[in-house]
Amino acid sequence: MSDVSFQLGIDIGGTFTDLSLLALDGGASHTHKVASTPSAPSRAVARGIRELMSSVGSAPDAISYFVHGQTIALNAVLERRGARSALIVSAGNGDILEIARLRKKDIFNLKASLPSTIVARQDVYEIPVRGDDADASAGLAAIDAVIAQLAPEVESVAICLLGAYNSDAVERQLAERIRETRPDLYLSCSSDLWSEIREYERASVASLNAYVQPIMSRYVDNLVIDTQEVGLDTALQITQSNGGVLSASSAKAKPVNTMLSGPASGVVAAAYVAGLSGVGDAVTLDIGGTSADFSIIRDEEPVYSTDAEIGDFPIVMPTVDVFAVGAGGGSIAWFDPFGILKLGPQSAGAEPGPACYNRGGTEATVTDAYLVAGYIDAGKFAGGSLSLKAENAFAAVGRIAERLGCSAEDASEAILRLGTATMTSAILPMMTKRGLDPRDFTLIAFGGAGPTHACLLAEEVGIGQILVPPSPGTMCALGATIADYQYNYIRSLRKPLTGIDADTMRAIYGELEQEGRDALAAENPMIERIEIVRSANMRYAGQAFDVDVTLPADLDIGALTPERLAEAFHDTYEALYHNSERDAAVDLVSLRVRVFGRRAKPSLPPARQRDDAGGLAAIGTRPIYHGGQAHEASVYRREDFCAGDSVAGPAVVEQFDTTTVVTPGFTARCDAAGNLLLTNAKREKRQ
Amino acid sequence: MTEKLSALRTDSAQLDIFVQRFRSIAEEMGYALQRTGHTAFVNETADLGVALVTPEGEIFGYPHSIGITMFANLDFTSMIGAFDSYAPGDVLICNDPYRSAGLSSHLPDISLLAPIFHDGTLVCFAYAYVHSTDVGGRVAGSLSPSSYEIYQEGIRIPPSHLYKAGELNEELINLILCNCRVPHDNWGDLKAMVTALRVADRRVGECVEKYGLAGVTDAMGDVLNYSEMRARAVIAGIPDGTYRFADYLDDDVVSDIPIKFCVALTVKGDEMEVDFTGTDSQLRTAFNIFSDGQAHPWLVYTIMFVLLTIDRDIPVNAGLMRSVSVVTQPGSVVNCKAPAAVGLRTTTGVRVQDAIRGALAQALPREIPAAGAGYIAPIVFTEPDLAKGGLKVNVLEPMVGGTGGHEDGDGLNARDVVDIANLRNSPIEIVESVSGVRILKYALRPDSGGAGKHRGGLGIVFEFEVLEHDCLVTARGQERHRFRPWGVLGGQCGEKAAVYIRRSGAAEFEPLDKIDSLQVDCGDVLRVLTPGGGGYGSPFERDPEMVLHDLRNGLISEQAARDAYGVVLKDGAVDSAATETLRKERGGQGQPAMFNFGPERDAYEAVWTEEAWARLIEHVFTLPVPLRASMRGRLWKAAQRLADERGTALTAADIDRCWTEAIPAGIAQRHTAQGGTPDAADMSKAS
Repeated sequence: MSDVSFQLGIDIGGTFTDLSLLALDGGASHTHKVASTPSAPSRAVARGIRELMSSVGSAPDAISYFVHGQTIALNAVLERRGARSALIVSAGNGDILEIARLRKKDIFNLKASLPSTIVARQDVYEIPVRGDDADASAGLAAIDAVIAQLAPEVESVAICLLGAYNSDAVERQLAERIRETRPDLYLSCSSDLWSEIREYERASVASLNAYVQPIMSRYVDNLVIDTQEVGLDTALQITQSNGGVLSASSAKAKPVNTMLSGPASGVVAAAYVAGLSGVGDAVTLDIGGTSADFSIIRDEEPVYSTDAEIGDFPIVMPTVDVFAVGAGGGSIAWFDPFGILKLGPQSAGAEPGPACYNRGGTEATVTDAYLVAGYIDAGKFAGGSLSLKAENAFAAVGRIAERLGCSAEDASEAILRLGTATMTSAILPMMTKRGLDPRDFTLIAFGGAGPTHACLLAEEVGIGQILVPPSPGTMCALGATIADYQYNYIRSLRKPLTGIDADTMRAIYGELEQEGRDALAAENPMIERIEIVRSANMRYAGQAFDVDVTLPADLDIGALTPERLAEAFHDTYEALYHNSERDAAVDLVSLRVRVFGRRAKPSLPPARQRDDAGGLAAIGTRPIYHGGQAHEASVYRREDFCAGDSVAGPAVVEQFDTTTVVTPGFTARCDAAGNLLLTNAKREKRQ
Repeated sequence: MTEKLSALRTDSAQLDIFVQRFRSIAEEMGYALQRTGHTAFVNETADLGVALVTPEGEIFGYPHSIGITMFANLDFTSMIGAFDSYAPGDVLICNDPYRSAGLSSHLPDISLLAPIFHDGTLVCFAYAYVHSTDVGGRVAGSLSPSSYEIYQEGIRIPPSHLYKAGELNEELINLILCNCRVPHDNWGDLKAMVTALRVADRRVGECVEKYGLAGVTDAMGDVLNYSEMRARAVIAGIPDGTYRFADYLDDDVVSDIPIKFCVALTVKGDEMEVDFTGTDSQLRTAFNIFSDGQAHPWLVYTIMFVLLTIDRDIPVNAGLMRSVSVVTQPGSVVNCKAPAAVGLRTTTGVRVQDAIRGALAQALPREIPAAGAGYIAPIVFTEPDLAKGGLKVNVLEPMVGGTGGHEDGDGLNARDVVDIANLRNSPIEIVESVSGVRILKYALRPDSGGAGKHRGGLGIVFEFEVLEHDCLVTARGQERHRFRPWGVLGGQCGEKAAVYIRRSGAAEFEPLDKIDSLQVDCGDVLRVLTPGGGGYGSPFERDPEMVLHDLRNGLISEQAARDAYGVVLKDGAVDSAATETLRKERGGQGQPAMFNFGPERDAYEAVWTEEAWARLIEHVFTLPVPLRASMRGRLWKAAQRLADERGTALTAADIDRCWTEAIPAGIAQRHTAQGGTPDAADMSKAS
């Protein structure tokens, strides 16, 4: 056993630190959970590694690849615990963070407040130079005075000059000058992080980066020390918001790229496991304690967004598109002053938690409703690590029932219907916004309660197929383990397509690609091959909404012409909106390159083949409430499923980290990859 | 309340599901429209609207996150009543305020309305509108303050069939597009709106299938009744009484005469009535609002925001405003008669809301902020198109100012009025890439926020250099150049707006009047300053540390810290003892006045007393509508001359004297002798 080497993925959440260990020979996969240690997160990591490896019977040095997902950077922003940072901008642009894009989010509130900025106005400095000036001397002449004025508490400096999307030269020279004088300061240049036109968004990215750089650096350094102490002997990789990984040293320089990595990793894992079952297009549903997170997978790849936000700060680099809806297991059911039943957005969270947790919570939550409706078993929640008190759930939901004048079971269904409605009302507009119809998709359910609620949601939005992965509770850690290296680059152009010649276009693609290859070489990773994905953002002249057109992988870059690009745009537009106009003028907004360092995918252990004649046996039955009536559901253990086993709803499938509810009308079948596929006889997938 | 609740036909556990679904359908419509729309208004500023409408003409499904947020109580009865019957596949089109009871409030807002049928029964209507870039008329973009007839503002489309039973009315669409400057964009927008209507048709159909026709119909009525109940509960909590207030627009661009808006707001039980009697007569410029005498959103939208500020949880639909009514005089600026021009109704509508908030502030001092900037003006730059010939027209930035301070905190910087439209600005880098300007400054305007315990938000300084020859700048909607945003409860006024220019080669900036249409040339530098919001509470009650914070961050000057806030500083820290002494010394005796209007308005009203103004309006309204604007001008000027000569306040008797002297005898006697207001309604019908 000690000859086998492993890949380790770790995801730190607020409550638990999850570990996912894959043997490189594909022989086994292991998962482990330990309580997080928020004050010194790397300690839980070290402890988890020690425990997991000793249970596997291997030494930590058998781990040859170690990827880590963290929320340190994100939480530092959300809780405003980052470093005091300064921001250097071009003259006249000092209020860039204050003015932002003018938008007021809390629209109907006359007394709305804005989130506090991460760089105080007094720490913003204007210098008389622009990013695309040919001569940086005016800026260099001013920068020494700025350095001298910095408050002693300032630990990091962000630079975002107007025009720096055109050229990084001036920002770079300023950074060099600062580094010479003050090597102790952390530096973030907008053109280095993401060189897209739109100065506020770049300033936001650079400021966020500066804000978390010191905290992230200290954290990574501690983690390396702590894991080396338990015997780990491999370079650390960190997951990114784009679903890829990067080296620990890059993460220290560009922590802004890691801020939304947690949910992104879950989607990467979902895309991967779904691909094993031949599912390419999917909507993921991850229900945790406070929210339900959705994302979209097309052709086995997560869909990226370029308008993600952290708090109110825009993140314009490509980010796995995850949107959260305030309907989680802890969401509280309540009555408004007129006796109308409502759900959330208030959540009981983990403390005190749902009433059934028996930790002082008395209000009825979605989890309590699952329990009353028979969807989960009080004795087997979270692998039995948390014993639920059913009386509490019945009492809490019973109070709702009393006011509604119905049974506790009916009330539990009413609560779950509200949860379903909240999710539906969020997911349909989000899909339409992206030009998609959920009925064309498979629902991949994971997280603690995703598989529990999946049938209810699928019924409501008309999705015909659900996929539940083998280990729905540790998808983020799995995603970290299998993620590829990924770097994104952009060049803003904003020109009529006819105003740019083929050579220039090819040269830009070449430069962006080379940047990625250089970055990859510097990381020195274990990769199988390099893959380049080129795309171009285009629009009809006059439109402000542009479309990201991915160029075919087999396209010969030497043969790329503006005409070819236009054709690709018309085709994509036609596919999306069915009204392309082939003779209309097209604007080229930007060229983009994604550079992947593809890693050998570890094979997950396939489903067992059935070797006994008896077939799958239920371990018992219990009533579940659905559609206003009780159904006697057979209860199965997930680990008993072998390839090809199939059960018809009503049924319940229990496993360590979740419970899958198969409502009447759905049939659950375990496929060769070990995924559970639930199909609705009435609504087969359309495609 | 309970008997009303029992009148709801929808189960109390189901109602919120419908609330969410209806809103979600509307949001889907909005996203579908935005993604496929053509003009900048759709894409950049989301000046678009969508809704689900009952057969009785009330909005029951309305989006939150997209589009214009203030139109939730638009009245569709007139538009729906334009035809006796509807068939599946019909789509109605209309943009004429006078033929749709103000459904479209100016001509660029092209409205589409489509019936949604289920098995031959009309379920509801779907609605979409877009602010088109141009609908013809005397100026590009169709909107000009100096237009004085609606015929100058573009093509008027009465309610007509764009599609009849699915068949496109090609002759009509050709006629419309033939009258527009950018027909291609208009057609693109129309198609996008039709796409949005189809989304609604499909989703409503799904709802009917799931909940039955009666279930959905009942729910439509119930969500309206529910919002109404909750709104009434809020109004019932407002002290009964009649609250009076008046506010002004500086002038009507063709004269110096301020436009006065008088409000007497009566709260009685759970109802609210806004009486505009005494408000100015309709103008021979484009500042009129056609409200048809109803509680049109442009007259009362702020009340919706107030109700939602107090109770965040009320579903946004027409029910919210059922308990609000208005009294308007026909032929007044808030209820104009055809063919008055209405293009600039936003400028007027924004000030009308200031007047209503001033009235409500007396009833709800803890809920209503001091006046915001009340200013929204796009800086439009026209230059020769050197590449294509002709002219290039672009919006540089939408100019807005600060919001007012309030009980819970300071006003917001540069966020006033942006909430009615989900408005965003344009990145400087993009502005400079499309227009021949260089932006020298886009920053907050220090000391512009009214001093107060809670300071008003700051306005903007926008400064740009013209880089091309023979250019033109317009900025419709510039306001508060004369009368300042008022402060409340001892708070001071916000700073007023201003414009300066430094002509090429000149050393100094010189002040300019509001920009109507300004010729500029290469090398000229224009500086636009927007107003700050009013302050709330006495500045001497502001925490000195907050004053110091504002000073350190450059939001106020050292002089303001001492003079306006009475804070004495010593070595960069607050000198508490000296501050206390100074504040005591300078603090006035007793309660401050409810409002602080600033010296300009105080001086104006010292001449134009309430009594004098009321008499002027009384006289003017004895005249037929077409004569009012010019005779109002004569009478005002005569009285102003009298006041200037005499140097005292005007009385009612003065106005009577001027009326007899200044107004041609025939006109004055003929109409006064008839005793009262001629019924202007006949005249507008006849037009």
